[in-house]
Amino acid sequence: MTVSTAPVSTSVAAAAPVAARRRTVTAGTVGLVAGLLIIVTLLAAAWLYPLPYDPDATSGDFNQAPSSAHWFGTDAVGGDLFSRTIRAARTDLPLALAGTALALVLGVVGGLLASGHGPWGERFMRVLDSFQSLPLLIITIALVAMSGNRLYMVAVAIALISGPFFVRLVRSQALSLRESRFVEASVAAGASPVRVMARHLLPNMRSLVLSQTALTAANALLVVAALSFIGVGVQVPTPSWGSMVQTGGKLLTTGQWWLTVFPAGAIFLCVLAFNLIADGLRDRSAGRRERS
Amino acid sequence: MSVAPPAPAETDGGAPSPSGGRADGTPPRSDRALHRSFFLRRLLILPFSLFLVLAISFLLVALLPESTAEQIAGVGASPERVAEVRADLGIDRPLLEQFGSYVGGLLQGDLGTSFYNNESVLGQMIDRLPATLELVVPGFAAALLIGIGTGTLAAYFARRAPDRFVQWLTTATQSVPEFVLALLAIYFLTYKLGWLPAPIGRLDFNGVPPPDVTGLYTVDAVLAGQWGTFRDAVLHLVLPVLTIGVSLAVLFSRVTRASMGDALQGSHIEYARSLGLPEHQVLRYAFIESRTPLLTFAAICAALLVGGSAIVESIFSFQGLGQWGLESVTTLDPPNVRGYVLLTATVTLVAFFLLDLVSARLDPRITFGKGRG
Amino acid sequence: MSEVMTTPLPPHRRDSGRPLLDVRDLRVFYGKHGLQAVHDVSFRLETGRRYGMVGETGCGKSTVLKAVLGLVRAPHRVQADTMELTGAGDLLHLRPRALRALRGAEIGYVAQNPFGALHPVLTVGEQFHRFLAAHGATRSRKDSRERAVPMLDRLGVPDAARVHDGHAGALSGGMAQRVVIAFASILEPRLVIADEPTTALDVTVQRQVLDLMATPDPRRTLLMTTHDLSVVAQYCDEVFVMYAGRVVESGPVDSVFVDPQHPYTAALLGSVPRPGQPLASLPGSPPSLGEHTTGCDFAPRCRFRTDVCAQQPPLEHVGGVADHAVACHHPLGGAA
Repeated sequence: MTVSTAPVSTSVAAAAPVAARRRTVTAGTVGLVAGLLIIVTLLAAAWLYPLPYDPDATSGDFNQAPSSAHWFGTDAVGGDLFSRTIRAARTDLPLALAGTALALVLGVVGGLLASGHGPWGERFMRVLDSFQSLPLLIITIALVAMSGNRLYMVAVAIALISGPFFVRLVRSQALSLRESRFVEASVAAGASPVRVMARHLLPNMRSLVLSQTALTAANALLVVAALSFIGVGVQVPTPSWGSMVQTGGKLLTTGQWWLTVFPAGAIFLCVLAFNLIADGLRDRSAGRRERS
Repeated sequence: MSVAPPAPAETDGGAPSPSGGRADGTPPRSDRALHRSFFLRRLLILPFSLFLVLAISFLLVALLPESTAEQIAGVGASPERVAEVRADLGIDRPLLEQFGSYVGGLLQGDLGTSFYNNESVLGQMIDRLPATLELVVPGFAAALLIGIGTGTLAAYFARRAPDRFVQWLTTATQSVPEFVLALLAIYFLTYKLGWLPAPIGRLDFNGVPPPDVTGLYTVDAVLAGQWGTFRDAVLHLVLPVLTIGVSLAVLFSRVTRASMGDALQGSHIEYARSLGLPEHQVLRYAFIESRTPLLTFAAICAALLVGGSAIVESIFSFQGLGQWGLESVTTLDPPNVRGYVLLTATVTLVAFFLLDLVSARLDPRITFGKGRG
Repeated sequence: MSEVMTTPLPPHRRDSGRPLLDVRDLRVFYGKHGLQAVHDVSFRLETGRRYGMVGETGCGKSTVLKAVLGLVRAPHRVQADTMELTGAGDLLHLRPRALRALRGAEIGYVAQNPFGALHPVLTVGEQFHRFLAAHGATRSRKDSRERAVPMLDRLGVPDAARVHDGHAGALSGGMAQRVVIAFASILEPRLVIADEPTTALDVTVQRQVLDLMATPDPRRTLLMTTHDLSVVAQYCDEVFVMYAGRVVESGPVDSVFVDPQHPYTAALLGSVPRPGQPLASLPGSPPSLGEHTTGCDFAPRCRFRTDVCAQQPPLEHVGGVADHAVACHHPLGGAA
């Protein structure tokens, strides 16, 4: 682990933040709620909202600027950009979330196992170090490309990139919790390892792990976008924000800004939402820790 | 990577630390003995890590699924053609034999040849390396400057307006993909304002590279006294360097805010103030106290950048190592991909090793074996 | 300097010193919402005397010290009618630069935890040099070293030169605290403020450290917080008892400890372990920040409370001894 430069809180700092904390929690909670709202709205729109046009259809009205008929304008083959931007959430969000879920499961299991007694935890972490020194994005791009652009490989790619961060977080949390008095007391009282894990370790790292999950989702969305931007993973014509930005970017110079701005804006909004959720959850866990 | 590692939720938990085993409560011994044992432990791990990297880069190609050979041969190719491709790649032979010849080649400095044009993998990478370095080194410097600057500002004014502004800015910037940043920069700075050249490479359309000495156009142009070429090369660097700089700066800003914020809240700083030290000294104390996590993070980013500028290089047609790696991947050129993975991972590992040595020198707490803070 | 000081306290002399620091109605507020941690604390320190400040954790004693040092930073606020350091002016209205010049040079500070004070990465010598340089008291690193090493030596640091050139992290607690005391001595400050200087140390080292910093010195005034009453009894001339951000009793140690007037003081004294006596303990706990009432804060835990305790008692002189004051509607009276 990194060398901890744990702050030795001064008595001023320790006694003070009652009021300040209340404030940060509020600010964080606002972000948390806003982030959740954005994600839920987008998911609802992608599945429930009746799109004005078939997102896969083409028409003669190509490269039209935004208008009342086409809110986001149309693309080079006359597709309605609004419909395509909303529909792309059906592809991009589940991919990112699936990858995040996979990373979460691998990370929590790996982190808990690696936090156990004995030399193997430490050895496992060394392997992880070497693993993370690999150019993971390129390797995963290679995996996705060589597998013939199977979408599940995109999720695997995200798990490979983000999983190690979970392992580190869970392990460092589990190690410090294991040293805490209440866990020691519980072990001394004869609690089984499984019980310690279920009753003490997992509940106490829940909000940090959730925060890391949201952060991973944000990053996963960026990975999905980057992959489809370079033409790996989701293939045209299936709408995906990354590939829409890629095709739109070529026309940016001829004035068709909407082709880039709307899909890029969708990525931004989603990633921002996940980041806000992550920040909000982290603030909550920080507040809880100060109180305890 | 072009998609940067997720900013750590907690400095401790998130960032990968290249080294470990410090919290082992080693009893204090003499400084020299500790340095030596630390160095030895790191040194012992290095070959093991290199072997792991070697194995992964080997397996990446050796375990290619049948479908890849079919894709390389072309959709609808005859089984004979697919078999031919597999023979060309050498993946029809037993695994151990393949590994033997792979390692044998490596020992002689032979990383294989491209599947398509028979160029040496090593030669291609050496050709592409200067472009990447010319891009990544200033990009990294810009990221350090912007990130540490804004992070320190936020930490110093913790929970006050500058802090909230910087945090708001970093959260927003962090949510913009690197390629969108690049496109935005091109749109505004090139097409709207016309200040900078179009993203067509390292020089203008009709630009002639300076005589090759280092491969870095800026340096070579200066060496040859070609000031026009120098200016041209610098102008073409600005946008990609800014893109890399800004997207990385966000992470540095966050790490700086966290570690400097802890340090500035800490009792060491309060004591320094009680001694009447001026604020710039106080900041220096805080910076020295928090430089180890910063250094760790910087080394991680630096190492990842060697292969991580791929998307930016592609957008700006920079013809660097990253773009080459990306093209090799998308055109399915297994020997190239293998070489690329091996090179970038080795560079990263060596960087981590050096980082450990430097951190141990800089921070006496590490040698004393416990993370007392 | 290191002879053990176990002699009884010198008799209390009323007019022994000139006023050094005069604090009137000090108030400290925490956070944006302004929870009050220190309520109208007033005291006057005289040159050459040693003052102890006692009370439970969280009673505001550290905060008072930090307010005097100017270490309470935004968003927290400090207010006072006056905080006058003789010869320097009102500490609250000094410019930052002037206040900085006072800190370390005129007002020395000994922190509770020496490891939390000394910079963990820089060498002791580097920190000495930066400190002296900040006060224009050194010409070069060599100069700083020539002043610091003898100082450490005098404070009983074995192998002072090696300690000076090494990192603070390598020192034991007692040695590290000696280094901190060296910082607080080298510029001969008039006022030394010590925040629980021995709490973090081994019992065996505590006395050595106190002997070094709390020996009477006519030129130096000591203001020290502690929750160890025996330390106050041995090393201080005067004592302030704090409860919930207020001074509830103050006066000469030999008067306050012999004839405590406030029930809280009496309870504190009663909870000092003594051989052969059952250990008394005080039920309940002090109010938390922002939980204050208009009345006596100690009333909920007090055996003697009556209706009148719903009003804040003023700090008034009491008993036969001058300077002995108590804030209680029902002072215990007794021998005095």
